[in-house]
Amino acid sequence: MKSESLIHAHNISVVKGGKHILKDVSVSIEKNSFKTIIGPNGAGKTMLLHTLLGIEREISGSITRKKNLSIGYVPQHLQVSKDIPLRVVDMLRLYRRPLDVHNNPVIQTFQIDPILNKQMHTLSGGEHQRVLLARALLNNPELLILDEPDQNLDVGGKIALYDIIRSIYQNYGCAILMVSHDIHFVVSSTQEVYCLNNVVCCSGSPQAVKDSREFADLFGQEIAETFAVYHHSIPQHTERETINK
Amino acid sequence: MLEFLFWKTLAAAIMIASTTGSLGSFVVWRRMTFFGESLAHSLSLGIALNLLLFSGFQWGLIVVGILFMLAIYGMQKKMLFSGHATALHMIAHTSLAIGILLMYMFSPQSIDLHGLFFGNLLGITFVDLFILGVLTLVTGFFLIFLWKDLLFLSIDANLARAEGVKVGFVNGAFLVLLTTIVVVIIRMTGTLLISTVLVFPSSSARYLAKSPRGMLVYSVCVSVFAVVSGVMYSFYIDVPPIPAVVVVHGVIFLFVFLVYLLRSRLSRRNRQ
Repeated sequence: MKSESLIHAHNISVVKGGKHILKDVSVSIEKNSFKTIIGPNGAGKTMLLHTLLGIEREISGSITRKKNLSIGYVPQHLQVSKDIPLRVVDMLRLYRRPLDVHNNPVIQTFQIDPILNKQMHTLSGGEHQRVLLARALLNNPELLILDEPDQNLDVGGKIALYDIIRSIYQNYGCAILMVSHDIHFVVSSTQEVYCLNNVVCCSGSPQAVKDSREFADLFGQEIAETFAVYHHSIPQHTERETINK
Repeated sequence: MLEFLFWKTLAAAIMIASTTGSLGSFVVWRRMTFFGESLAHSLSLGIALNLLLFSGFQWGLIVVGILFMLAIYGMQKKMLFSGHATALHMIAHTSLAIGILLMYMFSPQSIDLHGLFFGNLLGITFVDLFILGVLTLVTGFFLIFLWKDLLFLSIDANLARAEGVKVGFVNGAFLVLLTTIVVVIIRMTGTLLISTVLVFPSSSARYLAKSPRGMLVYSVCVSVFAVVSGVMYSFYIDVPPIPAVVVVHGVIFLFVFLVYLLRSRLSRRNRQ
């Protein structure tokens, strides 16, 4: 039996300034799935997320959402302006959400207690992403959409973040759709990859995608090969770190 | 008689201060600090049109205000953020220049540059007071009902839209309210100083506040304090009130900023 579909986008096209940002893109997210979108800059990754979220509405094609689907979203560039004196607790409470910050399991898990009264714009990159992730999880979403959550983090921060995302996937029972540039993470953790370059050039299991010609064409043979070499050494955590160095 | 004039002026000034002080926070957050000034300059054209074409009701201001608002809305729709500073300047100064030219060409005897630039807070009528009262109430309700939406929108419009904020509506309502306020108070505060009453209180409040709500409250307090002391001062030594208000704002800002600098330096030393 096929598992329940949360969002199904069929033949989505978005045209901006006479240029196809997305062309006939079809994406389907099922319950408890973990999928990633990879692709070069300007490939329309963020645009695809925006269409799924309903932020971008000038589209052709059809999107079917499960009724009352709750989505947690972490956008790509959320930089709280210094002009706004916004504490972490204000950010978490933002938008129609009475919240007991001191007895909330999500806030405890993400270790946000100690920084609740810090100003958002003074947080480190890792703290910032933790707050945004926690905020997205507060509604118990069925689907978590992450737009390059790993950018602006150093290597250690990235590894910590990936661990958090894996544990979210295991413990919160939500599906995850994520845009990432980190091919290593994509291959070790996700179930299905969409390789996007304005069109979906290939999709499937990470293994199948990395073997495909389209993937090599898109990212260059060299990267495709390191990806392949790397793939054989995933199971050992220690080896991954050696390779990262 | 002077006493009556004083209370009337003070009442108007307090209402102006509380509306501009509270909405000013959003103006600062959304990087729209050019908005007030550009709209004010553009409205010079409206004032000229009033002089030449309409006597009595302020049709010129309303027409120019609506056109300006549509231009801003169009620019925001394309960019999703506050309009282009350059485009705003061009619209503003071109309208200002056309307005001045029209006045010199067709009605040079009725030119009142002092009134245009510095306003006429002392010439307020009861109708003005009534309109200001209504505007203050509307602003209050607007903030009560749309506070969270507008705050969310100021932080990140995309995230707000993804979580169900009616971004177009909230943004449109904010623009309409802000434009209406500027159109109404332009003849009282003048075109040169309108952005001061819109931007200064929140800029000072930014250094005092730790939360968005706190900034709004501080901003209204600073704004009301500045107009009350400015108006009192202007009656005491007989100068126009608006420049006096602006000077008070400037002094408050300087003071708050210096205290902030001092405190952050001290806390840095303590940490070491």
